[in-house]
Amino acid sequence: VQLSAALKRYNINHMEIEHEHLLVAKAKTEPLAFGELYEEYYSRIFGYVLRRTANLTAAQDITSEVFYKALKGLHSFNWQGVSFSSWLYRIAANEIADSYRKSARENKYLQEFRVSPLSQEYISADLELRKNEEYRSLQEGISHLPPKYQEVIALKYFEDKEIREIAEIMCKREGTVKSLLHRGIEKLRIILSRDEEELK
Amino acid sequence: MNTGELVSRLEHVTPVNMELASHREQLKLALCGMNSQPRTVGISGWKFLHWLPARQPVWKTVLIASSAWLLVIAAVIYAILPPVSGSGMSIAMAADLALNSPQIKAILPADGTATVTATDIGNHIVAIVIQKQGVLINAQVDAAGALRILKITRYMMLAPPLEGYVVTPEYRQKILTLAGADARIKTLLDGGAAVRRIQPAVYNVVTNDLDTGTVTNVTEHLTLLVLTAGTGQPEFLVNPDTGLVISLSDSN
Repeated sequence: VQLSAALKRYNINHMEIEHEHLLVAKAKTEPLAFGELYEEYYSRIFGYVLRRTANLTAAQDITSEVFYKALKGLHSFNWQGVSFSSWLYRIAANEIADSYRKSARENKYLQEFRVSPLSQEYISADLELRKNEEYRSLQEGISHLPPKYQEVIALKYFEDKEIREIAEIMCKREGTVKSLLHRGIEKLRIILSRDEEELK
Repeated sequence: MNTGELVSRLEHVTPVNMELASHREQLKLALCGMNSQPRTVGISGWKFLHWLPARQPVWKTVLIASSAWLLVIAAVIYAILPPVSGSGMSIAMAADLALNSPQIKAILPADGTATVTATDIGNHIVAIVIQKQGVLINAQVDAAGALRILKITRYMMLAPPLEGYVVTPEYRQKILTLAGADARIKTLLDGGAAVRRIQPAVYNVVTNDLDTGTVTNVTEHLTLLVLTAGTGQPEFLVNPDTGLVISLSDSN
């Protein structure tokens, strides 16, 4: 059963990688085909950034930056040990880390693509975001961790990535990822336990 | 809480999963439009947006210098347009009003030279089109009584038209039908003008209706229509959805 499951997973992964190769190759030669790549990955990247930041405005700005950088760097992207989706996640993780350092002025131009916080669409999404209390409580704790621990925990538990994929995204060895994950969970446990104590 | 309990919480939590359809759509329009452009562009579109904040410290100085330029441009308009009374005078005054409007000055890039077009579009409304550094402003001025600006629309090109891009025959026909409904273009075409270029581009369009105080901000695909009429090449911007035609060349 395990072998069958592994084989099935391998086949699915293989199909996804082939599909990804085709889309990237097409986007490199046909400028408008970038739209297909965008459609394929927008939800995943926006979702990842939103789950990391729990902030709709930041998620929009960072996602815009990720796809803008992907578009700029597409012609130089090659498949040396990293899939396109992992490459996007890597850009997203860097942008999230950078967003803590960037001043508001540097991000100003991305406001052009933001949905107005007064729009019904934004308000509904924000309400939905606030409703998920269990996630918000965990995310709040995670947000107090250093970025590398935030990244590894989010990729493992929120994005459901395997250690191999996380290693690819973070550009680290699998052993290092496991170690980061272990230490990150321990740090998170301390933070959440402290918060619980304070509430009591 | 022990580690096992925490891992269990992490494994069983349902993370948020949502997106903003408008953001997805607007960003795609901009990115796809941008990807259709030649890679060597000047300060325009996204690059312009990057560049703008970086220049903010010198804005005040440049604004004063550019105000002087605007006055010179206004004077040129006065000189070109028919000198005395009638619609020519109204148009010139409308252009002057637009060029000196604080709202327009605030959204017009400080650097560069502006190109100004003033057109009487009927019903005592004068359309003043100001182009500068990739930003296009269309101000509608009520020239009936006391001059006043009705609406200011800023078109910022997010992706310049693609050189050599060929539109489909259906799209070409649609644009020509819409453009043909515009009296200025119809006159040119009836007079033997030929279609030189039809190129779609992506614009960020912000409209400020001064009467109602409403501001709208949308991303639109607009199409540049270039004609060849005699020795000139009049240019128009056509909105394929609304049929709105903006003259980018002086048609007076």
